[in-house]
Amino acid sequence: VAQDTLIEERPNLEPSPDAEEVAEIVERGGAGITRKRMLATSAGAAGVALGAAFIVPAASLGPWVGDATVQSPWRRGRRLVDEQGTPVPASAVAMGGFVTAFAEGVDKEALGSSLIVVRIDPASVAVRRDWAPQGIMAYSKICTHAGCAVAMMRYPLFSGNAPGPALVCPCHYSTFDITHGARVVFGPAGRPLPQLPLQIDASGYLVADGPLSGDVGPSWTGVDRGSA
Amino acid sequence: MSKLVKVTRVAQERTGQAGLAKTLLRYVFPDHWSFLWGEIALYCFIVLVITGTYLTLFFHPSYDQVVYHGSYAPLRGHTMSQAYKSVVDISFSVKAGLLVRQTHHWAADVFMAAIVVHMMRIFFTGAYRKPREVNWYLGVTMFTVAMLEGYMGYSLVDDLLSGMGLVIGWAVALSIPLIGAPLASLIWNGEFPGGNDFWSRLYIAHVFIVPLLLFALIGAHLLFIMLLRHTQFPGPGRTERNVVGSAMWPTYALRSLGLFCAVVGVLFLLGGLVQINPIWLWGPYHTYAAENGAQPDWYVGWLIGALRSMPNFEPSIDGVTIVPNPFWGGVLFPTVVIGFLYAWPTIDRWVSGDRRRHDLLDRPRDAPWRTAAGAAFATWVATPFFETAGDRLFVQFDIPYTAQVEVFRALWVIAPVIAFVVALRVCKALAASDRHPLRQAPPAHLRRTASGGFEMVEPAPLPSATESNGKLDNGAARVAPPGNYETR
Repeated sequence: VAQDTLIEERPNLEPSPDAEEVAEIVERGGAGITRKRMLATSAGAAGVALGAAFIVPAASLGPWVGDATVQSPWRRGRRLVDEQGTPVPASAVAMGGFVTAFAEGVDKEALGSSLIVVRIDPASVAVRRDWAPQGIMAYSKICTHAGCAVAMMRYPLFSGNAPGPALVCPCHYSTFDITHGARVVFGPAGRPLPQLPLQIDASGYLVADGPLSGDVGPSWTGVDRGSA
Repeated sequence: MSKLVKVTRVAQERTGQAGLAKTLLRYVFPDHWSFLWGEIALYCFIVLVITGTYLTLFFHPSYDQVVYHGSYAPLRGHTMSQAYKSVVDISFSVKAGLLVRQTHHWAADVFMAAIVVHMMRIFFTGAYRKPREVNWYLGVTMFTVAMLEGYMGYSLVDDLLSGMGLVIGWAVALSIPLIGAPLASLIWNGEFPGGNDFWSRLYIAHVFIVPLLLFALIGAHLLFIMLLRHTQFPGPGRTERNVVGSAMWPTYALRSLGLFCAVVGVLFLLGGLVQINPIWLWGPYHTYAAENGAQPDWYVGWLIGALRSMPNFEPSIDGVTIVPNPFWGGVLFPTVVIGFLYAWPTIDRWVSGDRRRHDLLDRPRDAPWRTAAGAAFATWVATPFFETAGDRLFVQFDIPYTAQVEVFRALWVIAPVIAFVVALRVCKALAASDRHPLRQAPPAHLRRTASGGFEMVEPAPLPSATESNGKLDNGAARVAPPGNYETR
């Protein structure tokens, strides 16, 4: 390939009478239009009307302040089932372990459905003891920070200054203290994970004893911060 | 009369644009290795369009749940969306599917890398100054749009990783004060994960709307370059009012064709040899599933890290949240970063008081304050990027995630200050060494005469591109390339 070196003048960008002429042509064209005011007014009115027309669909788009972005299926008496849809017995939750459970008869993918069910020593449950039969507690599995599934459990043996048992979200490390109703002890989450009051029915299966303690999933303006 | 002349005559008599063609053929490109990043980005875009088109022939943008019975045994019997299943099929059953899919993914990563490096080149050489502000704005817009395009692309697959990315996107949309919840409902057609309506929107945005937008932006970007000509570094014969370099034909066009072939070759080599995003290992996404140790594509790392590093802060009134936490790292931080980039030409004008036209580039040391500001800014954006690798640090080196976050929060504040001071000092030291008398270029070239003395010679003037028109290859257009590029 030839390696010529050439030189070329750059385009002139100095102020040019052409620029003024362009402005003049545009202005002269506009001068021919009579009733400019009326044109502008009707254009403005059309804009306002169009904008107003958008308010109705926009307002009906979805949850506004105070509504829930995620519908919760949980109420008293609804059973907890596993991925295959079989009811979860209390014995399925090992000490220091967790299982994922869902609302019976509800789409598993619905954010309001999934729970992370944990078991710790009943003596270390500091709040809502009557929600935690045999130390078994159920929390919404959807992180209140950014909606990832809270899929890790930290369960040290309380030796020395090791941190207490907690649920950890793998996305942004929000850490929820399960002895205190999943209050946030680390990370960016602003609200505790909603807790589901549990009871164990006569056949030993886990059943909801009421609705979740708060709104499921990430926050929006107007969400209740909840308590833990 | 040669055949080519016949062709050009026919073309001229139909279009009357022979003059334009002549100008284009003699269009001058200044030579500098750092000018190729933008071209690499352009060629990545071409590869993305071609490989992406092939992928659309087999991809199903559908959220309908199906049970997998395909050729990949570990996933048989699993419930997954049509979208995910079709990408698994592309990877294992479609001819050249895995090669094209991996090349597409690699091209996206290289595209973003080339854009970022190109943007840094423009920034640190001051190429965004008058009259090129508009091209800088177009470039920042392309960076933003391309990032969104990449995010949407890997979200379409609906594997476990991309689903986690999408739910975070939903949470970030929700977090915008006041309008977040209706906005997220509008985009997702209600509650996450949104179903088929959302998938149709994501798909048409990724394969049509955003590529079209990028195409238009690239066109405008190139048009502005053509109108103003390229910038160039100072050198012999180079002034603010000329361009010195190689002509479009034959030199630059062939050279750039070579670069295009190299980019395509490297991308296909990467796609064929280096595994990327093995979605069959992640499995299909379920809202209730998550994976630890997951890394996003590199260009969204700064946002994940920002979400992670943000302190637990959610202003509220009376127990009601006003600003949800993802707003800070997911909306405010990128808005400040992109806004700063848009504002930079104005800030430069305001700090330097320089409103003149600049066609000659600075070296980074020539404007220490600009280089220092750029270094500090880049460090500020890069710190959360490194934080994203925190789970790897945890797994590999057993450093607790809590301690990491604390360290990165502190670095986010301290590191930019250090970068500013170091860059400023380095630039000033380099500039001082340039001013040393021994580094000064001689005022003229010296030639030894036959009698043993020396005489001064002025450097030969370079031929003009316009003058050489019409007398190609007669020797007058050719000159030796200026040998000494010392600028001072």
